[in-house]
Amino acid sequence: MRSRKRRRDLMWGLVFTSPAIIGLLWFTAYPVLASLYYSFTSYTMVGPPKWIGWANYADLLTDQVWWSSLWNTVYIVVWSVPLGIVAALGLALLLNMGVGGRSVYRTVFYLPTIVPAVASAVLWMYIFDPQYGLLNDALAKVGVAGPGWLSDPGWAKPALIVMSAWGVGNLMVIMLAGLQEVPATLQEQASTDGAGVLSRFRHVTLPYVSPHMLFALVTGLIGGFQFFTPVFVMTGGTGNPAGSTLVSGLYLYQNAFQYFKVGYASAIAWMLFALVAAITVATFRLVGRRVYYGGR
Amino acid sequence: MRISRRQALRTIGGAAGLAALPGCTVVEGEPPDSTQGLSKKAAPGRRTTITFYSLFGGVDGQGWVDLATRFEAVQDEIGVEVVYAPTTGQGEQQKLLVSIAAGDPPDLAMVIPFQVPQWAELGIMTDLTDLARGAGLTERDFLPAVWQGMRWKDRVWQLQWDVDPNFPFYWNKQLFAECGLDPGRPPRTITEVDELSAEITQVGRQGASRVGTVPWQVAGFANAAFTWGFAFGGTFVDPETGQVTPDDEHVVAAVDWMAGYARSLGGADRLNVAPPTLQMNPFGYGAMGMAALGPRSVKQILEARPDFSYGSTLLPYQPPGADRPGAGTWIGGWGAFIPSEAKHPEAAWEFLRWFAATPEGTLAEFETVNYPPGYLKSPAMERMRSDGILRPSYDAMLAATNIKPSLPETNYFSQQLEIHVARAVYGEVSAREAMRVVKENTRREAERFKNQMGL
Repeated sequence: MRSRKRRRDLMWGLVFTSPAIIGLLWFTAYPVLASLYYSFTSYTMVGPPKWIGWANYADLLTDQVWWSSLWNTVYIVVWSVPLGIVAALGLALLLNMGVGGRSVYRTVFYLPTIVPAVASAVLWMYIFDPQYGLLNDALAKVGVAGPGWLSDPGWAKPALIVMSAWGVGNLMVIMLAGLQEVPATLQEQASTDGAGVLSRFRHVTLPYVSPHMLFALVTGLIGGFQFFTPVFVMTGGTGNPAGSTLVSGLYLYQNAFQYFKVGYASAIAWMLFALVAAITVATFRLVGRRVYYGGR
Repeated sequence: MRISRRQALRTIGGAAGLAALPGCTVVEGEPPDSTQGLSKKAAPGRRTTITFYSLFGGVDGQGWVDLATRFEAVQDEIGVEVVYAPTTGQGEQQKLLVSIAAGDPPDLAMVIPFQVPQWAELGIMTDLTDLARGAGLTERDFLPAVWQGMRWKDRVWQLQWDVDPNFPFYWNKQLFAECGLDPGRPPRTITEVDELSAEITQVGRQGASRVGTVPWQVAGFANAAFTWGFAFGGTFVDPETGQVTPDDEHVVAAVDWMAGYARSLGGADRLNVAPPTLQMNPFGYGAMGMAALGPRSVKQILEARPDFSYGSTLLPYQPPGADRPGAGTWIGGWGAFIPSEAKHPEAAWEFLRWFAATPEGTLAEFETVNYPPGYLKSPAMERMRSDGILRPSYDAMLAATNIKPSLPETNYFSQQLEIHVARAVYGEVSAREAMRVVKENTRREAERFKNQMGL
């Protein structure tokens, strides 16, 4: 009797979730598996794919543009992810201090997150303009001659890193939630025991927000390797100047839609996936054990 | 009476809901195609309806809708549905490519002439040779560079309806006079460009605040390489082997000249000559003495500064590689083609031929879309000749003998030039080394494409 009811519940459950299941299978699982298959083929979008085994992956090993794009990506990730975490934690700490008008500040800091990526990329192009941009104008006021930013191969990647800190609103909210979990009694006890501000931060606050920092680190790494929209908008899909912003995601796009090498582009996608997966596992192994889960 | 917060919210919500209700109504009929007027349905009652992908926005896109409507007005057999299918990045036509991959392409679509070899080899395009021959179209009907760009392996694959001569050369007469130069005497050679630049350029601690010209600001570094490479007398393809030759000595000399010019300004990233709006071409701002420009940039400058005093001439050249002004001019622009799986190729050809290769159709295109045609019998040619803004383009168009290398790997080649010419201009590598890398990478890519396609 009970098993009949359970079977019926299961059936209706599947019926009601079927749109989502079908959507996932058709629009996510199928393309993912298809791209894995294409990565072993020579495929131009026109005509049938031709099986070539590991040739695309072997080509990648000797493709200088791929290595250069990977270097650009790693450079941006290595700088922007820690910068984002520090900036988000810093803002969250400020908002957690109990100052008046906190909700206003929270809204202001969160606002950039809801600005569409394309709009913020265009906005930053104006901010980075070497001659009239806000940034160089501010630097000039303190006597610093600003660089060419997006028009200088040496400064284009740092410019993108600076820009990435603009969207830390999401992380800030997560960090803030973490900070609010820190038991006030612990802070008081530490204070009574003579711990200073830095010591309390190091030994009480930081352990409690460490799971949130791990989350930020892992999602930041995954997102960083998919960096695409700002570069695409700011450079018109070229990765200029001098290829200094040609990130792996953009090189993948160029191969698929400019050079018709869909198989090769799929191989790039899977190489990136393998890299991100390996880095994520390594991160969990190296950093995960240092995370404090409230004694659990 | 005290009202609780919940009651207040409920009252406000209810009132807002009631206020919104009268706005609800059943919408009848179909939604409009586009609020921007960039798409349109085919005229009703036609024997055949073709679909045309238009990739232009703004007034150009509206021009295509007008042009299709005009075509429907001059005959009553074919209706034209215009579908706005914009490009992304470097002109990628994603909607078109996806429709081709799905086996459901439009009847007519756009192509950049240098993409023809790649697309023809991929089997995307319909061979138009017999249709063109049947319509009596021959080499004599088109500008030489246009005829060259329409063909691949002696077959016709597209009709080029837009000719973009790259580039006429302009100089700022007022700035010339301010610098003590003769405002009536433009440079004829690159050496003269350098001499005039020395008189105009001002470089301070913050970088260059006034420049003779900016050779690499010619629609990207790759286009700059083609423009000045041709102007130095360089060639980009070996006609015998069909392989790219970016290390041709004249091309290397041209890139080296750009790199040297950047050094003379204190670095390519140290320019302070752009207008504050960042929209108008820097030439129009008045801090640049000379520029290779297209007519649209000039038109835009004149809209902002109607009193702007300028002169125009053919692109300077550099002996001994080149022998006359304008030798470096090359033809770009847009063509249109019929995808190989188009459902109505004959009807699509009628529309294509009308707007790209008939006197009345090319004139209609010039009046609506407003791009210069490549068809020599077009009455639009005379209109260009007598138009103050378009005349420099007209002269450049007739002088032009070059096109971008027409090879399956041209997209990749251009992208490589974009990266490595920039590296040379920014002083990261020598011009020779940059061109060596471009050659090596592009030849490897060409080999890969041939293997992939079994050529």
